[in-house]
Amino acid sequence: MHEICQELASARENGEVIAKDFYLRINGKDFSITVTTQKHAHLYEVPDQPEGTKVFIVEDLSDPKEICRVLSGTPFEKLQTFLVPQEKS
Amino acid sequence: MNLELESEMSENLPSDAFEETRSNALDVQLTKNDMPWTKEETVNIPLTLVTLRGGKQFYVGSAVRGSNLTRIANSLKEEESGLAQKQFYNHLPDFVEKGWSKDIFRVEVPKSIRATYYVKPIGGIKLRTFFLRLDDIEGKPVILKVAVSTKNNEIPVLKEISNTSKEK
Repeated sequence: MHEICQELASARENGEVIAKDFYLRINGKDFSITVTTQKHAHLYEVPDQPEGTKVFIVEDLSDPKEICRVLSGTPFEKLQTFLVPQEKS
Repeated sequence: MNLELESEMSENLPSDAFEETRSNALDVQLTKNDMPWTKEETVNIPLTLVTLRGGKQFYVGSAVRGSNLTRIANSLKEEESGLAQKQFYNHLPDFVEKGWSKDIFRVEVPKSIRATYYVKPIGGIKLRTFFLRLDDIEGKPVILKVAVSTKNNEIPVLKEISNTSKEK
């Protein structure tokens, strides 16, 4: 689905990766997306904050290619909630 | 890095970020290896020494350089700049004392030879602050802000300061 899927950065807690940011290009448009696991989801919950970044849950953060495969296999309508549209650069 | 003693402060630290004292600063000289997105071969940046409540000290400075990063920073409204500055300083104590924060992301492939990070509070705050962690000076961490943006300019900033164009 995406033309670009690249791991950008990661957040850690006590040496363990707890979240990652990815750069996605879908249909020529750039987006960022944050992924985390169920285990760490509570750290990033943002109830009642419509403008807050929503975090996409994946099973495992260790393999960026697998994360890209999961993101690519997720219907755009479902993924859209988690995407942060980016300005053209 | 060349150091010179300087008496003036470089940053207007938000007073409610944490209790700190600010004292005499240093100049740090950076090269294109530190900030490859600048035109200048070397850049002198004044640093401020911050002392946290528990006594831990670190240096902090600001060096938003390069036409794209400057344009993006200047596009923020005044209140957004102030909020970004405040959230940046609010996160530094954790980062300095523990080396991590859930809201601080380390860039995977930075253009700088320095470790590169950004503060990205998940939630209602829509701003990002990007910074380098320089070599410690006399055992004190050195933090250098290099960009600030809204969440919608995150990728344009990262295209400037990291390598971000791999096709699938």
